[in-house]
Amino acid sequence: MDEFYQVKELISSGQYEEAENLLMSLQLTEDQAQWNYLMAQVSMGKGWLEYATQYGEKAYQAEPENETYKQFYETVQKQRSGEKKKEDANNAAECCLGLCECCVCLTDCNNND
Amino acid sequence: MFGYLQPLKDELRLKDFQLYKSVYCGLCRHLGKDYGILSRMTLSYDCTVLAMLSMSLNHEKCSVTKGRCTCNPAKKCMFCDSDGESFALAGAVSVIMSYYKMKDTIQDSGFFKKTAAFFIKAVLHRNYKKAAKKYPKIDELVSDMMKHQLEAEKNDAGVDVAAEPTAKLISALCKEFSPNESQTRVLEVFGYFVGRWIYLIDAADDLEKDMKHKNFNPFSTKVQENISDTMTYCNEVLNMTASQLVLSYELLEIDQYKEILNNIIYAGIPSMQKKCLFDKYEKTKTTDYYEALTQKTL
Repeated sequence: MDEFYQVKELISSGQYEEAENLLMSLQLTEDQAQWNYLMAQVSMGKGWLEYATQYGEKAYQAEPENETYKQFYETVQKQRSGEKKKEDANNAAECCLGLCECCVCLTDCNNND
Repeated sequence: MFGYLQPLKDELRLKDFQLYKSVYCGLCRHLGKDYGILSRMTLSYDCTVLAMLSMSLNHEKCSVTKGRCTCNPAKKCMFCDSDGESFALAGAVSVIMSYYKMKDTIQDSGFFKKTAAFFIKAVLHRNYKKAAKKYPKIDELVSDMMKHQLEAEKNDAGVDVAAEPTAKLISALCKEFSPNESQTRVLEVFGYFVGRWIYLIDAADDLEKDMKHKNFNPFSTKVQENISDTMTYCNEVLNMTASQLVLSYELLEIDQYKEILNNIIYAGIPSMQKKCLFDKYEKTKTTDYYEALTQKTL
């Protein structure tokens, strides 16, 4: 069983505070890359974009070959550089239309696993 | 922290610009009617956007009348009025926020500014009482924000934590005029990032001044030797905030004023960033250049 299963559930239901608390108790995990990636998602959900950027970077550095982490990292970099704002927005708006969890779009849409 | 949310006039069609102005003048007139002539000085571009967004989402009918400007009777203006709550709400936000801003200025400014703020606050006091009585929720939200802001500054908070009080405030204010439940969630997120953007651009704009006076600034730990490197970092933070803001903006069911609101989001925000972060320093560079030139000829 995935040790982060519950964290992921909490994130997808928008309970970021709870997810963060749970993650904090799992700090010593073997899978530091995933831990950082999930912290990035939690921060994203809370709107703490600087933390999200830092955690996302750590996840990508720990496992650069992981497609999910890489995609997240690249999306963030693109947003920070300010390019293609509108196109991204259209894609994101499409994929979570009706869900209304627009703040987790970026993370959830990329998380296809 | 007022006046950062503005349309980029150059890219707005004339009829849309006139419509925008009529909302601005309409809000001014509404303030005068609700709270008396002196409350008009609290008028801001940000509250105009708030009124416009609220009118658009609630499908309020807007009627325009011609009249004379109260501040400049020689000028003829168009005044927009709606059949809903939008103007009353935006006016109350304007008065309440200005009152608290003055209160804050009195606490942490030099002598002259303090004295000025003291008088403005005294003038606004009655207006504030009236607005707070009508909208106790807004009063509570703003007063909470001020408390949390002070706390964050005391703890020398970083970017995310320092921006949170303003972000949460605008988020809560946007929820107040939500037309339905599904839009409430979108507005909550949209408001959060609008508030965050406003707070952070204000902080970046004031960075140099704050460093000089040793005041709190969330970007002060990120300062690098070269001012343009520092500003590039601030710009990245603002860019990311703006792109999150756009994500939720796209989900809002905007009806009227779409052209103007689109202009503010897609053109106004980036151009304001450029103006506050880069153009300001470019100008000082050219004066240096001329200074250098005159010295050379001497």
